[in-house]
Parts: sequence; structure tokens; C-alpha cells
Amino acid sequence: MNAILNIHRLGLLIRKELIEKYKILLIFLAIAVLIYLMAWSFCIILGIDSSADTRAIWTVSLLSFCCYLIPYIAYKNENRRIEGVFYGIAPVSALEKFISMLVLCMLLFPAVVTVLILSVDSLLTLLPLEHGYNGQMWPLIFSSESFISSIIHINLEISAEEATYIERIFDSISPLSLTPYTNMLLGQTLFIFLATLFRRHKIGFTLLTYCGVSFLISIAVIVTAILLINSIDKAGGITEEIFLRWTADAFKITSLVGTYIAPVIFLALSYLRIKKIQY
Amino acid sequence: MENNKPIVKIENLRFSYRRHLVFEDLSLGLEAGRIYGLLGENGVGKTTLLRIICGLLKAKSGDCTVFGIESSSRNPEILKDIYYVPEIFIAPAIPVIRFAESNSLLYPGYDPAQFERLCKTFDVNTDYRFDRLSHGQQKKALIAFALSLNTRVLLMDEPSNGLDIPSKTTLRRVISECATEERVIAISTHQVRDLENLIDPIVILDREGMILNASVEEISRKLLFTVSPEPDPSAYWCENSIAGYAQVIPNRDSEASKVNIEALFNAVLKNKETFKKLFRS
Repeated sequence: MNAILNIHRLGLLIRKELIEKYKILLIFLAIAVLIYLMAWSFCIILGIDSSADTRAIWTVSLLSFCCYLIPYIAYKNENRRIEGVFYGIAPVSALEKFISMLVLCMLLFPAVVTVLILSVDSLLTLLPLEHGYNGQMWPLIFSSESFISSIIHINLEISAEEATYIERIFDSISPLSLTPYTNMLLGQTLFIFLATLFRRHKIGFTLLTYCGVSFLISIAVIVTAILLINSIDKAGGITEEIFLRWTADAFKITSLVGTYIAPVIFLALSYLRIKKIQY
Repeated sequence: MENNKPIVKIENLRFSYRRHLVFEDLSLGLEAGRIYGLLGENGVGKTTLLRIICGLLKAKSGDCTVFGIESSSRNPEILKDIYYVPEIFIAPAIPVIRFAESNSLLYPGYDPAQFERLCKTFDVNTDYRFDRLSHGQQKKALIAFALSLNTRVLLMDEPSNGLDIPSKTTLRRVISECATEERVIAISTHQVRDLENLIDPIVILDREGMILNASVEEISRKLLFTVSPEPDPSAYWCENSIAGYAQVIPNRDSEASKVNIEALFNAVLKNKETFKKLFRS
């Protein structure tokens, strides 16, 4: 057991990685905060008020972007044949390396960047300016219901019937959905896996993989949706109610797989990659 | 050689990179208290062998154990007693002292005072950023760090590459000072003159496996390294020079001579099967 997981050794490894990587993490944090401040200054300059709902959506996007990028920044060289030698020979187990990576990428950095940006946001909302930020974003980031309803409210001019359909779909997935913050953390697992998988041009290959798979899935979904819609209310086809139910079920299954099953698979694959990698 | 139990035991090891076979059937034991010189032509697998021993690579078949545990298991309990100094490495963008502090956390045998002392001996300023040092300075810093970890297995790949002449002398001195009865040091090198008088035993590899694994004492007992006015017909290797014919011949009369590792290497390459039989243990 000591060879697989030793808490003291894990602590030493996390300390080692923080000593080596803290500068780059701080720089990345600073860039994230600067981007946020830039957005605020645009609001001031353009004389726009930004509500908490609007800010919540794009803040989650910014946080997600930062957190998805951190495995590539912090673990850029660890799986490379020459640059990764010191990491490869380090006297720690694969599990400890894996846990340390998760601690840094999924706990520490997201917590710090989230607290930092939300704190900056809170400070900016307190400024007595004519235009700028108003409303508190904290509840929206840490509550799935609030976040989803804020998305619905922001949207679009839609008819009552369309609103009912959208709410029905959201009702089917809302019991399964997690807070935007948790979703962001779990969404990282794909990027952690791809960062450990690719040795060179990590971001490029990740984008290619992501776009490629998304494209294939989108084609499949669009083709299926078109076929189903075309068969609505036709002889031998499905009714609108059935279509709506299937759509809600599809969203539910996608939500289940994407939120719970896929992260576990990606984490397992990341661990296996760290364990089996050859230098 | 004394029959100590080997710390590193390699049996029937086979390794290939995709379709390129590196070595086929290598068996070798590395005992404590010795500084092994690992020689061989380019591409015979010296670096690969060192990487297999420290767990960076896994052999296709055969066994490589360190302290009785498979090296490919990457068991932290053995890794904390192994360090590998690669020939080529990318120095991180942090001061040398911070590299030492962070990387030594996981090695219980690390001696920071020894590290400082060795850096001073090598004339390396530990406050400088590692990546901003010259290649030679980086090498010296890493060697100082490796020696100060006091691991029982120390693997070095071409450690004298990139070092200036005084540093090579210093390298020989510090390695011999840091060698202990509990420690095995394996040095892979082409620069045999840099490490003559230091490496003993000498291991010479080829693609089929090991040609020779013998102590300097055994080699000088079986071979004579001589310079004579006429070539010896039984010479394993002979080179004409201004001083005469430098030769490696059978030591028929049990004469003492200083082992010329370069001449030995050339002789071995020319007479592989003969030397395999001559030094079969």
C-alpha cells in the first residue's frame, strides 16, 4: 500500500509542484483578473450596465477557459521524453502524481481563481459609478437553478409555447445538473486527459480532437433531429408529444453521461496514461 | 571480482523501439561498491539500458530488478534510491537552489551542505537561474545535485560531455569521493579518457547483448597493452603511431600493464566472439 499511496509523500509532491509552478500559476491568475477588469472598463467606457445574470454567464465561461487551460500550462512538459525526465524518475507512485495533478488543476487553481474573480466582481459592484456592474454574482455561480433560470430570462424573444418546450427540457435535466462551478471542474477532466495524452502541440491537437468529435456528434444529432422532425404528425410517424419526450430524454441521457460518466472515464484514462507512459 | 549480490539485476533483457531492435538478450549484474563504465558503439542501447534501470522505459521481455523489485513497476520505495543524470535535459526556469530544494524533497538521503560544497567545487552559482547557465554549468549543477542525493544507485549518461578540461578532472575526483561501499554508479560514456582510472568494472555492449563485463584487474591479467616497434601477429588490435605499434595482445607472461580503455574497446569490437569467450564468467 505504501508503494501506491503515501499521504506524506503525496504532500511532499504537492509541495514540490507548488514550488516549481507557483510563478506560472500566479501569472495566469493575474491575466484572468486583468481580462475581467478589462471587461469592466469596457462597460464604463461604453456606458453599459451589466447585470449579475449576464456577468454570471460570461464569468463562468472565463473561469472555464482558465481552468481548462491550466493542465496545459502547469503540466506542459511532464509527459515529454526529454523535458519530463525529472518528473518521470521522481520517487512517487502514478496515483500520487495523478492526485497531485487533480489537486492543483481541479481544486487549488479553480478555487483561487474563482474566489479572486468573484471578489474583484464584488468590489467593482460596490463602486459608486454611474455605469458598470450591479447585482451579486455569487449565488448564480454556485446554484444550478439560479443559473439556468438566468439563462432563460436573458434569452430571446420566444413564444409562450417555445418557452414551455424549453422549460420542459430544462426540467428534465435540472435534477441531474450540478452548479456551474462543479460543471466547470468536471469539464476539466477531458482537458486533463488530453494534456496527459498528447506530448507535442497539446493545445492544437486538443482543439482538433474537440472540434472533430463535436463536429461528428453535431452531424449525428442534426441528422437525427431532422429525420424525427420530418416524421412528426406524418402517417406512421411520431407525434409532437413523443418528439418532445424523446428530446427531453436525450438531453437527460446526455446530461447524465456528460456530467457524471464521462468525467470518471476521463479521470481513469488520465491515471492510466500517467501509469503507463514511457520516456 | 568478489561475488557480491547485485543491486541491479538484468536477465535476458530485450528492448526495441517499434521495429528497431536495440538489444536482444542482455544479462548483467551491477554490484554495490563499484563504478561501472558502460561502453558500446552508437545505438547499442547504453542510454536505453540506463532508462530501463530507472523505470523510464519498460523492456519488451526479460527482467530488470533493482533491490529485488521490478524497475518497470516504478515503485517509489526503490526510486527514492535511484537517480539518473541524462545526457540531454532541459533545465527548468528556476534558480538552481530552488530546483535542488524542490526535487530533493522526495529523496531522504539528500544532503544540502554536500550540494553546496559540490557546487562550490564545480564553481556553479546556485542562485542563478538553471536555464540561464551554460550547458556545461547546467551539467555540473545536475551532477552535484545527483551526488548529494546519496542514492544507492546513480546512473549517469555521458556526464563529462560539455565539461571543460578542469571540470573533467574535478568530476573524476568528486565521483570517486562520493563512491561508497553501499553505492553502485553506472556511467555510460564514449569519452573513456575522461573517466579512465575511475571506472571499474568495464562493461562493453553490443546489439546482441554484453560482450564484456570485467574488472580492470581481470582485464590486465588477461590482456597486455603495449607499444612495441613491431606488430604482434596475435594482437587483437594494433595501431601504428609515432611511438610504435600500440597493441592489445594476450598476456602470455602475466606482465603488468595499464589498461588503455580506448584500445580495449577497439580490440573488443574487432574480436567480439573471442572476447565473449575470454571473459565469460
